[in-house]
Amino acid sequence: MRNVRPWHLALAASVVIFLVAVVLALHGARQANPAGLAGAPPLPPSRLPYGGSYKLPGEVEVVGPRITQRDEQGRVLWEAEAQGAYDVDGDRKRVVAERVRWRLFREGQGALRVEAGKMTSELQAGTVAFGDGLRIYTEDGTAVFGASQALFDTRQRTLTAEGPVTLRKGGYVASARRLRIDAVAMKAHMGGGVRLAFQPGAAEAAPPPGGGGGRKG
Amino acid sequence: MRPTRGRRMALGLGALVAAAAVLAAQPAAQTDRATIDADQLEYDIDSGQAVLTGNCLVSIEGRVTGTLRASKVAVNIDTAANKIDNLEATGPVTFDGITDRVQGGAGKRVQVVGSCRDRATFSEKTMILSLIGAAHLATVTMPQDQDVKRAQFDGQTISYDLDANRVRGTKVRIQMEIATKERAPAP
Repeated sequence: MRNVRPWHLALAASVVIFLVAVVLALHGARQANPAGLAGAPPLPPSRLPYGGSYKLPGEVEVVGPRITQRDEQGRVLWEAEAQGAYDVDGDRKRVVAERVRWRLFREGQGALRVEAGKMTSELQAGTVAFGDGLRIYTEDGTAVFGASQALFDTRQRTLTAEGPVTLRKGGYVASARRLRIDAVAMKAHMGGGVRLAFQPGAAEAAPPPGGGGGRKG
Repeated sequence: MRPTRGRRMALGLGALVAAAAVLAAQPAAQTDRATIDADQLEYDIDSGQAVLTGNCLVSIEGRVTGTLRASKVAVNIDTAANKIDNLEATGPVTFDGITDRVQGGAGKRVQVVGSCRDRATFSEKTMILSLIGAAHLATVTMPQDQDVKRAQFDGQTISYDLDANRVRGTKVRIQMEIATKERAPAP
């Protein structure tokens, strides 16, 4: 203890303070954005802890990265699985997920599948928005719709998209400026400069993600 | 052992027959292309049928090259062969096209102009264009040389076989013009 001088103590104290500051800063950053959503703004303090199970308004249930919404009869209306980060905002009643595989059901049967880079479900508005590399598949995978973004209305059960939209089936491609899929009648309406082009020898549509078939209820 | 002349001929003949069999087994080249422009398209996800409405313009290129205009076109698609199986156009319908070389036509092609009031159907398999309701069809052989044949058909319904250059119809009025070579005056 003979060699301990006051400046030694001051140096040790400053090192400890620095380390504590670093740890607190890292902890604060994790609190602000633990899921690490790329490009997402800082999350409000209302966000629910990551990885939990929650029942939210609008018959929406979140169990880990799986999100499910049921209809009035308790049947699964749609379900989604986030391959990337996801976030549940309890106050804003919003679920945001990245690299999503989404599946729509009609009377317990699979009807449509969506692959999207980002999904935002607004529980109060009753909408599910898709974007970033969006692909919409029919259940059998033989027809694929393409758009830059789309919006599913859970009450009307319609999926709409604006901008360049395409439909690929077998060897033909239909292109237009608007798309509306009625998930009750299972009809797709395309409008605005529609062109249906047949391409001899073109490849079949890609298979749907995660296979087909299956019932839910 | 050198093969005899007869054996060489037999081998050559066999190779020729084999080559002919291989060629015959090849599927016919599929060159038919088609585009349909319209204001709107309704696609039935369950049945796969596409219905186009508003200013429909069907452009086809292949055994027949031409255009069909209608206010509504329902298309049944052969997804295995990637082409139109058949289509039904709702009137008024107009058609304008040129067929490929017709059977027994000595290299002749036929220009076809048709119209109808009610509806028209076209089958890719049978290559038959049917015009229904106040149907009109005019055909001219191409090129228009001294052997040109012109015909006009007006009727309740008219069906035209684009492969065989054959017309059938009901209540049809026909006008034909067949050019004949002038005989040299007798000496």
